[in-house]
Amino acid sequence: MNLVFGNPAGWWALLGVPAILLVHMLQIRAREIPISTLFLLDHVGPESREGRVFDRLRTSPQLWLQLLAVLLLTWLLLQPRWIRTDSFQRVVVVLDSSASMAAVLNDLPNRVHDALVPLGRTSALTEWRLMESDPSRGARYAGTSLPGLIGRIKDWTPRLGAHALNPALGVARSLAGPLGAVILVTDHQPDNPPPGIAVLGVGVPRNQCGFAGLRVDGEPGGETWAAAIRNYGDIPAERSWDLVVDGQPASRREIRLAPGETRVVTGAFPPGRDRFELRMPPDALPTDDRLPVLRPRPKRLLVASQPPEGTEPFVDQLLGAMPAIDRVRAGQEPDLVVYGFTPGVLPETATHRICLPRPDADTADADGLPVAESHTLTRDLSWGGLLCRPVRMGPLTDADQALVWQGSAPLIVLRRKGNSEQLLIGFDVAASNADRVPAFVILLHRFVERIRSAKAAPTADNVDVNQSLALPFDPAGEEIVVTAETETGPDPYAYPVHQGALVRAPFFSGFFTVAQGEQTWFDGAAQFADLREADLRHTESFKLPDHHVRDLRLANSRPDPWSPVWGALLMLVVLSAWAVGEPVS
Amino acid sequence: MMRLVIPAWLALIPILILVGWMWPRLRCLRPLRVLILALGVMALARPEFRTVGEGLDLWVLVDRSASAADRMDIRLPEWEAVLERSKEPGNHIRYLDYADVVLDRTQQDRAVFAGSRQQTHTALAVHHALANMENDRTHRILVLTDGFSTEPLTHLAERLADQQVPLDYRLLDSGGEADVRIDRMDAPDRVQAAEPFLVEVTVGGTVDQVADWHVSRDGTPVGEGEVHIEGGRGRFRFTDRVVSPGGRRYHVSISAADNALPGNDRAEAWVEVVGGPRILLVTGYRQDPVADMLRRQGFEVDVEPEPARLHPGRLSGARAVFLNNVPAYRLPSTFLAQLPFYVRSQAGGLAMAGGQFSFGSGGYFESAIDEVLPVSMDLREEHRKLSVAMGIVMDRSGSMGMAVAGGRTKMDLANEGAGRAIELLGGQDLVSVFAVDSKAHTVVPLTPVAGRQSALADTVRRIGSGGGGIYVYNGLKAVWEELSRATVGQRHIILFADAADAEQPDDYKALIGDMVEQDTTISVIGLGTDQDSDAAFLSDIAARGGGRIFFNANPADLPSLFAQEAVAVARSAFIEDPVPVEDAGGWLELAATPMAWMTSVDGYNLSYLRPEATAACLSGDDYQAPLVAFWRRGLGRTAAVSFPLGGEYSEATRAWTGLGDFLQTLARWLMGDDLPPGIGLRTRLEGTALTLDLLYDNRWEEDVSRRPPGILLAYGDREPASFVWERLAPGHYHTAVSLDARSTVRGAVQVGDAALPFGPVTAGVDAEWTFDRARLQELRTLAEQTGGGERLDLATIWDAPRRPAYRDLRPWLYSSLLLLILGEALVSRTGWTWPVGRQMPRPPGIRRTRGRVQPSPPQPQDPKNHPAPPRSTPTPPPEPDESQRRRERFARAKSRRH
Repeated sequence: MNLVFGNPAGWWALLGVPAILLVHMLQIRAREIPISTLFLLDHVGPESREGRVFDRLRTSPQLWLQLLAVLLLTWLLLQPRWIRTDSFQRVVVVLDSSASMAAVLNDLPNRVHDALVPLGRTSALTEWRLMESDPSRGARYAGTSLPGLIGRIKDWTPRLGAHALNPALGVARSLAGPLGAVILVTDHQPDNPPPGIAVLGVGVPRNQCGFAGLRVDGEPGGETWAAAIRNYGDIPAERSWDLVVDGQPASRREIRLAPGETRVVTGAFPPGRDRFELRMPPDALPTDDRLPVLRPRPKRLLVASQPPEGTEPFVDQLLGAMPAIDRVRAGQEPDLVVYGFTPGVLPETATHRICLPRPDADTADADGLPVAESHTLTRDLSWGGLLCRPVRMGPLTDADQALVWQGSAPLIVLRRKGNSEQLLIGFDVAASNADRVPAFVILLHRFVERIRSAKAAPTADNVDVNQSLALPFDPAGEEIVVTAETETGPDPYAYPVHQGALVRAPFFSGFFTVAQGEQTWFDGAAQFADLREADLRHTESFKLPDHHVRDLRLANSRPDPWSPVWGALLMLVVLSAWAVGEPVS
Repeated sequence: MMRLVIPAWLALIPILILVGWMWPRLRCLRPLRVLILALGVMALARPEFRTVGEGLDLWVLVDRSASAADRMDIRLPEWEAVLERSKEPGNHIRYLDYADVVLDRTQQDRAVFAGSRQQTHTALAVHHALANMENDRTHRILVLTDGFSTEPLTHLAERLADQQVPLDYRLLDSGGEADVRIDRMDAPDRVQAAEPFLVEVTVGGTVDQVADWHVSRDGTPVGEGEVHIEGGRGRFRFTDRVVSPGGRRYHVSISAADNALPGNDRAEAWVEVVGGPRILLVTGYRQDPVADMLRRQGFEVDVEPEPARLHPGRLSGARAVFLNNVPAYRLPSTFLAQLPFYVRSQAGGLAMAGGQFSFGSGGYFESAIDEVLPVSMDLREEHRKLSVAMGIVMDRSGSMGMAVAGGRTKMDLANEGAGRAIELLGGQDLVSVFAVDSKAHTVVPLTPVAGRQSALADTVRRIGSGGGGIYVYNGLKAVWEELSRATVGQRHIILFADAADAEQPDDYKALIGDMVEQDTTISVIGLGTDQDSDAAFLSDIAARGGGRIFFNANPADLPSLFAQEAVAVARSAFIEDPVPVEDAGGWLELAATPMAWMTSVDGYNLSYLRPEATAACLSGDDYQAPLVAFWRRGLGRTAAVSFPLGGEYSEATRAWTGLGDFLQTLARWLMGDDLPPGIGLRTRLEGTALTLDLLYDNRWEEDVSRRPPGILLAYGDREPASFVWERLAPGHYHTAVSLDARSTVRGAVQVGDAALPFGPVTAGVDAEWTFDRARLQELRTLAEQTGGGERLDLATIWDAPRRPAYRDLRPWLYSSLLLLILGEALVSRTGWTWPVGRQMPRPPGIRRTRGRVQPSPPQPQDPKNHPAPPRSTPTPPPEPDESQRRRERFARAKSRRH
């Protein structure tokens, strides 16, 4: 109904109805009128003669007219308003994309529907918009159908960990405009929501248990795993967990956890297996009841070592301390070459290199202490302890970026040539204390890791759900396909090749692969590990504030244009009541 | 004033009269019915009551910020003249000057804006105007500004629309002169002690020219040079190297021949110089024995004998702070305010020790660190032995009416402070309060406070600001005349004055000399900084008066400053007699072996152990007061050593052989545990966006799985705010925080029981001189949304339409109508009439009873007119008259029908 009342307190005027009835249950006072005959007695009702005040109610035209007058007055006092036929409002519903909302998904469409129905009645036309607080997701629905919006909630799943809601609410507020409404659907009361946001709480406090983290340690081939199981409850919990290999439970354990307790369970990988899964019986939050575990397989670098004389021990020690480094063998193309060079005479190559000067390089005059430029390779490194004598590097080119200076002499330079990067060391390492300066060693580690991350090679690792995967892809290759293994089979989704930097792990726990064409670049196990979302004890349920709907109604309605007619009718009814008048005796 | 929206309905009146005349049966002339018809017709005519007057109240908001000040001074007289000249009777103008704060010009008497000019708080000024508008007038806001607010104008449109107040604006000319500015300053967040580092500064300009640059570190010049601005851009770099750890503030400024706007010529950045774990010892002694002892025990000690040089950056890298006999007023309030966050959230340690300049005697009662110390400093009434006569001289000059954050004025906060000071006095004390502008006004004459603390404090809290500056001499003279009458052991005066507006020195030196001769002390609370124009004068008063001097530019601190001063004078006690020391057993919570305490101390500060705190040793006198106490606060630890460790009253302590062991154990406990390896925090500041990345390895996974990491940021003395971490990957959390421009923040990341402190960090360049065009557009949009616009001809603003605001009276009429209809129905039904004047002609001898008419008993009659019948003759019953016979017939007929 397109009717709203501007003054709901007007309903109190209906108390006039029983008042009128009460009045008409009083006996009529006899009026003394001298008459010459008794022919009018037929019209006389019972009169107060014997002391009784109340009598049974007798209907009369006056009664009905007076009741009608009261009803008309009630109507006028309620200040009826009609929703304008041209009224329009925009209601933006923002769903909190936090993973804890998964616990209320079943009831969520009904809760949202019940809350939004009154809002829909406040305007002739309501444009509904549905969006998530996940900034990477677009609008889920835009249209005028509330069932359409509810339908999009039914197929929605939250997939983020704890995150800030305000950016999405700011977007929603601007979408809704100054007269529109923004409804945040969440399971907890947000801290300091922006003004103009109404919050609908749909949370239900629950106790639950789940996996809370994974650690894989040990040398390749002898890795062990350690998984944390946590009781997010106020009462002790007894659970079982299974070690599942190839989809079949291989062993089952029982575990009893005190309220809030975290227990770490450990083990070795099943013989001959690179992956398995830990499972618990599903509870309120199924996301953390599954923990896929994968034997990590890091990307290996092939390194050729051709250091200048005197630096071999340092280079061997450096490469030996780095993980997943292989020395190049005959016929292999190295990923990185540690190279002895003569400054100014550096042959060009497409291979990444760490270039150390030969001992006979000319030294440069430089005074002062080393000073670092701002760069990712030098960030937070301290060069104060480096004692060295710079060599004459020659003029720097546009392809060069000095990372560390000593006076006017560049000590370390990063040179980019095409896709290759070369780290030029501008001092004799063997004649310096660089091997004992942490900054220098860390810089070399960072450079090697930089090359490793740029190398296109298959790898495997345990990652968080929705984790960004920095993988190198062939920019001229096919699209990138992430295939998640689900209960119902493979679930692939593709990224255009130019969006390779945006590839993420699946949103739900499980194994997955990342492939480009026939080449699988990454085997992964995605785990849910955001404890803040797994703890459902403090979720809340609350309604939209009452004034919210009322304000919208008033904004979208106009006063009843017939009110003068009802006023005139009231006058007529009152006069008619007087005209039929009280009975005469 | 009332109006009828549909007066045509009044035509019903003659129609109703005609109807009443033609149908008398309607009995329309009955009073109730006349009223019902009248109200009904009125309701149809839709009467409305005007709620807003015809005149216009124009609120002129004048931008007094630094970036607009010069141009505003030129244009404002002309603009004001136009507005005043074109104003018609019935219209009003209210001027609000604003920049960092809002100042109502009607509440001060000087033309110069006295507030800080380093921000342009346009939104605050608009809110201030809206909050002061009366509902029965039409209002309009005119903003005279350069258009560059330093705060967003978000949500102002809704507020203005809600109050139906249009906003107009008039912009200052942009100038267009040549200018140079600092666009960006890049410095490393963190460097090692003694390590050189590079700072790069990008400058911009409207014309090509050479500019000079200067760099200072913590106020000390460290470099200068020239930078060539070509094509609107220039860049210079400098290196520096700092040996001592802690946060260092770098300030860069540029200057050029053609430079129209000097305010955008500077920038700041903090660099944290990292060293080993150290203790910051803030001492009041020239040769502090504590420093030597701690160094001998292997601690790195950063000694600061000049507390005024402290700033929050000195806390960076410090694991504990030791305040040794330093009074609170010598510590910068910015430093003092950071200590609770340092302890609770950054896991720092804090210890206070000393004699007459520490604890309550040092003015720490109700200071920022009061609540984190393990002892309470408020002397109990029963332990007080000396009464005090306290005189308070309050500045009530015009500048005190300036609004500050929270909608209060400086006067309100000063009143609150004075009231708090009175409440802290004891039953045997006396107080006298004067409010001073150009005269001294007696607020409270010399009065014993016993049992009247609340009433006296309420009186003081009602002091209003007046005009003019504060005439200090008059105030001191008046209060001295009162205090000189007091016969108590101690007289003390608190002089509260604006450090930029304290006038009339007169012969204050002689006056103070008289006071001091009669054992009277004077402390001064100066609102402002020690650089203000009258700061030296106030300092001299405090020095001559043998009291303390507080300069504080933050009015919000006034209540606590008054309280500190009151307690330092009236409710603190340094016991100057030797007392034995008793072991309280708590030391074993810190150390594995019991402590062999000294047999006695030469003196100590009387204080009380707080609940939950632990005492290691107690005084052996009647007070049983804690001499060494400690507890944990948040992630940090604090301790109180309430006897001197040096200087006067420390002979016994310094002779104590266990002092070194005591200090070593206490210091190790205060410094807490080392942060386990495997975790790190990376901070990066880009403009005003601070990003933080928390990285940890497998060793921390269990800790994190037990309790997710938290992050807290503290802006100055505001409550720390928490932010949401986003988990990006195993061992990697990330968050980004948008900082207020020019604000300095400190923070802490908490993982398990460990904390990773960071900061201070200062965001960006000076917002006041950052001319963001978006702000200008925001102002234009706001004006359009509210129905206003740019007013090039200011005189036309008076032609603006008045706000038509009426209240519909129909609900009241309908409610009255309902009651009248019900009443009329009742009256018609029951025949009820007004008790007065309802006598109807009635047959003699008949009286009305309930439900029937009965013969009335015989009435006494006037013997003159109606001679009584002889008593012996019985009166025959009266013959039934015609009406009675008719009733009987009626009754018989009626009974037959039923």
